[in-house]
This record gives sequence, structure tokens and C-alpha cells, in this order.
Amino acid sequence: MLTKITRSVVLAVLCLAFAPAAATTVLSQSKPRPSDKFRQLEEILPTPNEQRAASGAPGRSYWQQRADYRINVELDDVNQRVTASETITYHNHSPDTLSYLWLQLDQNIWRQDSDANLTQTAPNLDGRVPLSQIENMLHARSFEGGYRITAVRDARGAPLKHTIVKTMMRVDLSQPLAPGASVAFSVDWNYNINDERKISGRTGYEFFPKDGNYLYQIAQWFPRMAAYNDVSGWQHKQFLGAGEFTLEFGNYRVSITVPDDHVVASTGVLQNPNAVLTPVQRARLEQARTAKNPVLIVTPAEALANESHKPTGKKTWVYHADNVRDFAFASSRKFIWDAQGHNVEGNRVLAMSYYPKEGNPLWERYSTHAIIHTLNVYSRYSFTYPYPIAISVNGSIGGMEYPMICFNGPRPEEDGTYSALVKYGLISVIIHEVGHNYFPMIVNSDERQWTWMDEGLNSFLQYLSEQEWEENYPSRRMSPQNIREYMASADQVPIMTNSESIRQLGNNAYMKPATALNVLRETILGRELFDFAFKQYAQRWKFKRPMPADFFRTMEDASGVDLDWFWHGWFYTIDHVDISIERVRLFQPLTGNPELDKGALMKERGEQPQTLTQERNQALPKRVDEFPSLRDFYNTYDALVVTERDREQYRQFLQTLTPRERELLQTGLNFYVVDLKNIGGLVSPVILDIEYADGTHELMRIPAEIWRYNSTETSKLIMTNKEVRAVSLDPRLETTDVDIANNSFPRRPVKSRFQLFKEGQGQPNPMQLEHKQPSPAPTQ
Amino acid sequence: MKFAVYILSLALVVVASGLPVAHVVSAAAAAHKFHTSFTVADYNAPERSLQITLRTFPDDLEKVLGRRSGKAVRLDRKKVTEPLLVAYLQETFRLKNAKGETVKLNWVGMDAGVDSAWLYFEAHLPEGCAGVELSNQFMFDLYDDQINLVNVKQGGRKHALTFKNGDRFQPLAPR
Ligand SMILES: [Zn+2]
Repeated sequence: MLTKITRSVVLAVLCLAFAPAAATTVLSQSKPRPSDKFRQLEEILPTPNEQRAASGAPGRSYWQQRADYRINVELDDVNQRVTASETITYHNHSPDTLSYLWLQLDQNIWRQDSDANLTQTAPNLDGRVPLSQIENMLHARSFEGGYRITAVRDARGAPLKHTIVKTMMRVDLSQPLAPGASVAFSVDWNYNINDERKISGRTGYEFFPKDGNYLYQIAQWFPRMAAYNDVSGWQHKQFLGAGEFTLEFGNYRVSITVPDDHVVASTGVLQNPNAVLTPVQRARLEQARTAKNPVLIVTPAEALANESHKPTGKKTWVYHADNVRDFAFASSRKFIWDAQGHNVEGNRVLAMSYYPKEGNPLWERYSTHAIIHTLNVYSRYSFTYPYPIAISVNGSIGGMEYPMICFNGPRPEEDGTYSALVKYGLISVIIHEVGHNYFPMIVNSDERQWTWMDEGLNSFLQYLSEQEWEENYPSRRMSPQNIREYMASADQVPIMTNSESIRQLGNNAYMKPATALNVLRETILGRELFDFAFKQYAQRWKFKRPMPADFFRTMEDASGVDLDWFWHGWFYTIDHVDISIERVRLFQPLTGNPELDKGALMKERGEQPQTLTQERNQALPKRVDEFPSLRDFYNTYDALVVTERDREQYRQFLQTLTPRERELLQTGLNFYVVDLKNIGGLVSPVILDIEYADGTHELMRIPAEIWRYNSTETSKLIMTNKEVRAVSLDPRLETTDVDIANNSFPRRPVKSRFQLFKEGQGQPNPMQLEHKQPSPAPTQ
Repeated sequence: MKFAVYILSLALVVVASGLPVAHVVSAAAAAHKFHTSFTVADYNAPERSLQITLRTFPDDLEKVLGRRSGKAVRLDRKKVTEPLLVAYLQETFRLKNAKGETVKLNWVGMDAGVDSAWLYFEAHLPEGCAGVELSNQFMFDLYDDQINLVNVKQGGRKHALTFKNGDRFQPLAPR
């Protein structure tokens, strides 16, 4: 194979320096394009200030607003309506005087004239349109959604002027709110709850036709304070459906009135268990706090009995939550309920799951375990879970997160069997949504502006958690190989794109940043440095509001590694990794020993092919043969034949060398130059696997800075006394290189997935779906 | 059958225009907003065949086939699922040769994991890719924001196509 490696013999040896082989030197006439890939980010990032320090930490004058809520809400199970009133106490910690406040009216996204509806592009009506889709469209057109705000009053009960602007409401204060001051005011409202199966969107009810019952998952259900911060002022960018929420922390006291046969799951700690739980339920809950496995608070048999029940009145469940940025709850008479206490790094947490019988046997087996597992792993990588409760609820919503509570959709089939797809889909979604407690519920990033800051970071930790659930857990879409097609595609926007303008949200805001962090951790920083820096970010910004620059700066500040090139390439461009090994050249130094050097040159000459013309001319009669007197010294002289003079010069040369220099000269080193080309544009570390003729391998991990002088072409020197047989790039597929056909030298044909499958060698995916009957659930 | 539905769709559009049409607001931004399929179409010159590998998400595939057949579909039950899948592909992944004739797709097989499902099929193109057009409507009936990425390789040349809702036929190779 060595024949494919260009061989050049270095001509000079004195002083052990190498002159470049003349044949390989090409003088370039054009100026090289300047490399911008390692340019520092300061000119793009906002200037550090008193609120946000240059280190990426909160500045010495960091501030954020606070909003405390007292809410009374009643759930109407007959008409599927919410009626409620709230008192908000708003604390102005900003240095600014505010003459009006902005509130978010998220339910207004379902008004018939909402921007979300009006700007919705036409659905695809080509081909077969299922009747269910048409029915959903008709239902959506007749749904009377949106808030009816019935009163806005000040603390003394006098009406406050308020103006509704689509999904936002401005409340004009009678007195401007000075820095450091607080104001209390109240709002009354009601709205119709959406049928989540027909109009989906993070909240709603699910109707079960077989037993006639409803299951409510209630969120974005109260007028919430818009955030006011040092970067955006009021963050009142309208809610269009994709950009989620930007919220302030506060304490909540919420009284939830429901039919008296309902079971409520909620953000916060239940304040009146004696009024709403039976003595048996309270005893089981007590037992659950120290149990080693989930304990049933409402058993499947009890839940089944409740299904045919009719309520005799109402019950009010009272909850209190400290330091949360939002509040959500679920309610149904169908709920089975299990709980298990758990100590997360010293914090006692009650992990609980609520699910209808339709969720079993999956939910009783996996949900609460998945919650606890998530808290363990996420706490290790960020900060100790600070809340006393962590809940997972099954309903129609596919997966949505709120403080202490999340809604998760996957269920088995009606016969109780399930595919591996559904099983792992459930575990993954619970990890993901419980994980959102950390990002963005506690590290309170601005979701309306930057989806990646919570979804990307959360998807990354989700991946780490899944890999600690079981060996070779089939993590969805998070491994470096799975991003390659997206990275190579043309229809992209950078990660640093506003949430509402992102194309291909899942690939852009979940998978690409998660993969980027994976590459940063495994390939660029290493686990120890990365984990330290990531934890710094989480700890610095918990219960605060970070911006992208705070993340970028903290990761550099804490790791001690300049990552500007990485943020620039991965977050601000749509470049991809595609590095090619263009060629490998071999240089062998002259030893100075004429026997060896001239011998090598002679051998090389002997290997030169005879040209066709030379071959044909050989048989022609020559004049010097006819007249031998024409021959002289030059007819027999061969510069490569060793002369006595050569030997004498070599002896003299050796005497000028130190013993160390003499030793170096004898080693017979080979110098291989690997020429690399960056085709995809995204700068990446270079990982080379060197295969030697003796069958051994050597792995070279070269930092991305090898590209700093020239980001399109570079080369790497390999010094060895062995012979190199082959060189390959990124042998373990860790850099997201999109084209592996150019990753080896000499080129090795790469069989396509199609060819492998068709030849019947298609490696069965280790995650191959298998239809298995679930084994019986463990008994309590 | 198709024709009747098309009329129904048209009627819907007419009724809807001029009215504020309330719509299904796109699903919660939870863990599932990956509405993308990835296709590699490799022209195998000796076999005169376009060899196609389409990667999609198995849950989406189960959902779309389930909606069309009106019953729960599971990819691990290949005997029942494959005919549905082949019919769906013929309808949504359409190739036209230079004469404008529909090119039949030959089913090769499927490889389904928890993370991804790979569909393998071929199209016989004796004249190569010149003048051939593709319309890739895969999953457009499930998601309005579905995007289908296609990488075509012929000889040493690569060509990338992107299909979004509303896109029709595009040439397989640059003219
Ligand atoms: Zn999420």
C-alpha cells in the first residue's frame, strides 16, 4: 500500500535540518484567503456590564423582578371551563420606574383572530386527507378559545385601566412603580379548555369515550407577569406557538376547586391533606416517603371504581410553592397515583406519578423510577434538585414541562402490550420533561427568544441520563452520527436564531446544540473540564436568567480553553464538519552515510518506470558503441555510486557530531506528512488513526487549533521509524464528519447502508424492534 | 378514490378562504419536533438503478400509516405493515422520467430501530438521472412543517434537494 504514499527523499542533512524537497514546493501566486474561524467573539457578544460580567457570571448589580401569586380556580367538569381570580404582588427590583405592567395572556392564542391562527400557513390538502384531520379543523374553527378578562382591580378594588394586545395585556398603574417598590392588583377571568386531541398545545383536556370521563392537564391558565429584564426590557414578544415562555420567579398559593371525586396533581406542596385525602391515602403517602419502591396512593382498583362514580359536591385542594416561575396542575377521577420518597444529595423529594388505567402496565413500572433517575443524574451535572416534589402525569399531551410537574403522553396498546419504541419513548420523554426542571424552570433562560438554551442543554443531559439507565440505551437522535444529514443539508438557520423563526426546530434547537455539547465534552474539552464548566454555568445561573453570552463565556472562563471558534462555527453558522485526507507524503532523511543514502536514492531510481520511448529506443544501435573512442569519464560515471571521497567526508562529518546527534542519525526515521482539507467549513479537532505495516495502530488527537492559520488546508507531520500502511480520520465517528468516504488514505471504499442491506449483511440494529409481551409488573 | 378526496379538499379550501380559520396550533414543543426525513439516492450505474435509503422516525411512520389504514400500526409487525408502507411510498415518493412517465419503485426492505427506521427501495432508470424529477411528499399529510432532505449521488457528483410542504417536482440532477 505504501506505493500510494508519495515518497520524497530529503536532500540535506547537515545540522539535522530538512530542506523541503524541491519537487513538492509550489509557489502560490494568489494571496491565501484570511481565516476568520478563530476570530474572537467579543465584537458579536454584548459588552459585559454590571448585570452580566465578562466571566459569564451574574454581575455585581444583577437584578431580576419578582411576582407572587394567590389564585383561586374552579374547574368545571361539565362544560370544560376554568373560572378563576388572582392577586399578583409585583416587586420592582429593577433600577427603572414602571408606569405600566405587561401580562401574558397565552390562552389568547386560541382566539379565532389570533396571530397564531391568522399566520398559520395552509395545511397540505393534497392526496388523502383523513376525515379526522378535517374534523379537527372544523372543531378548531368552532372553538371559542381565549381569555375572558372580567375584572382588573387595584389593591383597594378600584378598576385598573388595561389594554389587551393579542396575547399580551398592559395594565396601567395609577401610581408609577418606583425601583424597590411593590404593587398588588387582581385579575378575574375564565376560559374554555381546549380538547387537546383536536387542538393540541401544551395544555387541555382528554375525553375518554368508553367511560365518559375527562382528564385535565391545565397550564398557561392564568394571566402571568411578562418578564422585565436588563436585556429586553419587557419581554412581550407575542406568543405564536413555538417560542415558549419567559417568566419571573415568585411564591404561589393556589386553591383548586374540583369535583369531589377528582384527584389533583399540582406544582407545590399540598397544604390541606386532611381535607382532601382519605385516612388510608394519607397513611400510604406517609409510607411512601421512606419506601424503596413506588407505593400506590390510589390503586388501579380504586381508580376503576372512581370511573363510574358521580361527584356529590366539590373539594378544594390548596397548594403552596416557593420560588417557581410557573404553576400547572392536572385533575381527573381516573387517576391511579403512586409515590416514592427519595433523597437527592440531601434534599428529600417526593416523586409521584398520576396516570389513568390506559397507561398501565407501563406507567406503574417506569414513571416514578424515571423521575428519580432524572433527579439523580441531572443533580450530579448541575445542582441539587431544590424542590420538594417531582411529578409525572399521563394524558394526551405528548410531553410538556412545568415546575415540579410534567405531562407525558406514551401509553401501551389497549391489550397492554407495547413495542420497544413506546417503552423507551416513555422513559425518554419523562427524563426530558422532568429534566426541564433544571433548564429552564430553574436556570431561567428566555425561551421566547432562545429555544436552544433550554431544549439543547436539556436534550444533552437527557442523553447522559439515558445512557445511565441501561447499557446501550437507544437514545433518540443524540449521537454524533445522527446529526450528519441535517448538518450537510442546505435548508438551515444557525442555532442563534429567534425561537419563532427557527426552521426544523427539532434538529436546530434540540439535536444540534445537544450534539455540539457532546462533541465539546468528549472530543474537545474532555469530560473533567467540560463537567466542571457546565456545572459552573448551572450553579451561577440557577434561579437567575442567563443569556447566550453568559453560557459561552462561562464555559470558557471555567474550562480555561478558548472556545470562540467553537461557538462561532456551531452556533452562528450552518457549516458542517467534512475533513478529507487529501494525501500522505513520505520524507526520508539522508543519514549522511553514503552507503545508505546513495543506496536509497539508487533504489528509488530503480523503481522509476522506464518510459515507453526509452524502452523503444533501447534496441536502436548507438554511435558510441560503433566508435568506442567517443566514450570518456562521463559515460561510466554514476553519481550514486559510493566513492572513497564520499566515505572520507562521512568520517569527517561524524567527528563533528555529538554522540546524541550520531544516535539520532542512525534511527532511520520516516517523516510522513498528512495533508488535510476542510471541505465542510466547520473547524474540528483532527483525530487520526495511524496503521503501521506491523499491524499496530496509533491514535493522534489534534486540537482544532491546527486550523488556525489556514482553515481550509493544513497538514500534520508523523515521525516514526515504522512504515505507515494507512491513515484514517475520525475512526470512532465522534466529530460529526458528514462524509466518511474521504476519511481514509489510501481511500477505502465505503459500502452504503443500502448495499449492506441488500447484500443481506445489514447489521441488525441492536435496538431492533422486538415484539415482546411485557413481563408482569413487580408487586408492591 | 383519490379524485373524490381531491374534490373534497378543494371544497374545503373554498369554504375556508375569507374566514378566519382557526387551526390546530402546532404541537407542544416537547421532545418531538423532528419532522424531517433524510434520503440518500445513489445511482448505481452498472445496475442502472437509483438505490434509495430513506431514514425517518418510526413513531411518525406508525402514526401516518395508522391514520391512513384506520388501525394501530406497528413496525415490528412487518407482514401487515410492509404493504401499507409500500403503498404509502408509491404515493408520496414520486419519480418521473424524462418522458414524464411515473417510475415504479421496487421495494427492497426495511430496517426499523427505536431511534430510526430505514426504508430501502430502488427505481430502474436505464437512461440515468438526467431529466428525472422527484416529488417527495413523505409525511406531508402528517405534519405541515415536515421537511424532506434528499442527497442524490451520481458518479462523483452530489446534489442536495429540500422538499417543504407545497413543493412539487424537482429535477434529480442539476441541469
Ligand atoms: Zn423540551
